[in-house]
Amino acid sequence: MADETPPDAADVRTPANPLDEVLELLGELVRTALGPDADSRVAEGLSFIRRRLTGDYEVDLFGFDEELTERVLMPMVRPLYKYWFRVEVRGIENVPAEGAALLVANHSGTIPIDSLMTQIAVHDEHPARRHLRMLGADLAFRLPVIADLARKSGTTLACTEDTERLLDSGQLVGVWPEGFKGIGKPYTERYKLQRFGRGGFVSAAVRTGAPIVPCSIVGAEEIYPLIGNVEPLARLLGLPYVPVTPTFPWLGLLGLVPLPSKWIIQFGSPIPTDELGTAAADDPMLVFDLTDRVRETIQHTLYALLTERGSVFR
Amino acid sequence: MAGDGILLLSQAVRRAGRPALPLPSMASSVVGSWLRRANLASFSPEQTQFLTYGRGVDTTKMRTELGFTPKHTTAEAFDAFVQARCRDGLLDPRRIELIENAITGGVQMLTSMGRRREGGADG
Repeated sequence: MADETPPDAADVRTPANPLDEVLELLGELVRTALGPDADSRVAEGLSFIRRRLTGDYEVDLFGFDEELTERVLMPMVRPLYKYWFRVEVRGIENVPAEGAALLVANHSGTIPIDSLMTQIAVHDEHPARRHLRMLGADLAFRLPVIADLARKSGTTLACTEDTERLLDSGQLVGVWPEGFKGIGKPYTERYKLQRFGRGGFVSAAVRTGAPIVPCSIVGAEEIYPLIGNVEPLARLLGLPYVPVTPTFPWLGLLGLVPLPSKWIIQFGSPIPTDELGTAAADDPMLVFDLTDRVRETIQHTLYALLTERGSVFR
Repeated sequence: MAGDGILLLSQAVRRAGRPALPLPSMASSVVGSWLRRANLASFSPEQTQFLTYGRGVDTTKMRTELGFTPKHTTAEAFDAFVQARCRDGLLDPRRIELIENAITGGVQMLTSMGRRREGGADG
């Protein structure tokens, strides 16, 4: 480092080849855009694209594609979670760090965005970064595009066989037992839990000895306030409902933007089922009682969270 | 009988190095018959249905009762088939890797040039 060296020494050393100049500039651009470790990041990204293009990746027997979920699907949903709904998560320590567990949550919001948010909440807030394996309605698997995305992001059909197989293999399974009765209820019925199916999810948990984690979601009810249903069209399309909200279909595609409600997701204390024994899964009274207990827990938590939240949007 | 691991149809197409074009199921039979008439394809609508209906095989009993363990995984067996029957697809994995290496090399060259320029300005 000689003091006398003129500042344009580099230019003197490599005399004007315009192509080199352009390449050097490009190099600097790449480095400023991607940071100092640009080389390795570009290589990493390209290798990901190559693996996708050549089919060099693995899916599990339910079609869950972990790499695609972590690197593409979740990053697409995350801004909605962080900045639009500003999801606040409570009681994440109630979700077991390992082993099977059945997460049971309330369902609302016209379109099941609440399941996506719960998936992100579990993965991002839990130290074990667990993947929530969700149980979906058969409609989800009849819709083009949606069906593929649901499978790849870890959803499978809500049936006993799949549920028990997932729990047996020690997965964290999420279920929204209200189904369409829950997401498709009118805005006036918000936060009133609907019927919890026939308690099939409780039987599955008892049979596999997996604890049940009640999960209460506040905020999803307000994203698309359902004020009407175009019944003839719904029947024609074979859908449970065709929603009418204050913005949809009046504003067209713009009406699909969800309202930015403030969300709270609370995970409650797990209810153990391993002491009940496998036979208890076939005892209708016990299953009914346990289903009711889970439902009541979620309902009471919802009311408590609502009084605490105050305003819908803040 | 089945090997270990699941292979999706889309994944199989990619591993064979062929481009894929998703079609609605109703259109696929029409397009399929055009392709057959033009002698570009030789699969029947039944085969298409068979392939697009996913299935998995529970191999627990094969292992525990029959005591049989397959030597190859599903992916390995499929890759061997591809090697033997239909190499040189448009998106052949080796071709993709060549492209990847070319771009990585190019970027490395660019960033090292940018670095040299910065280094020069410091000195």
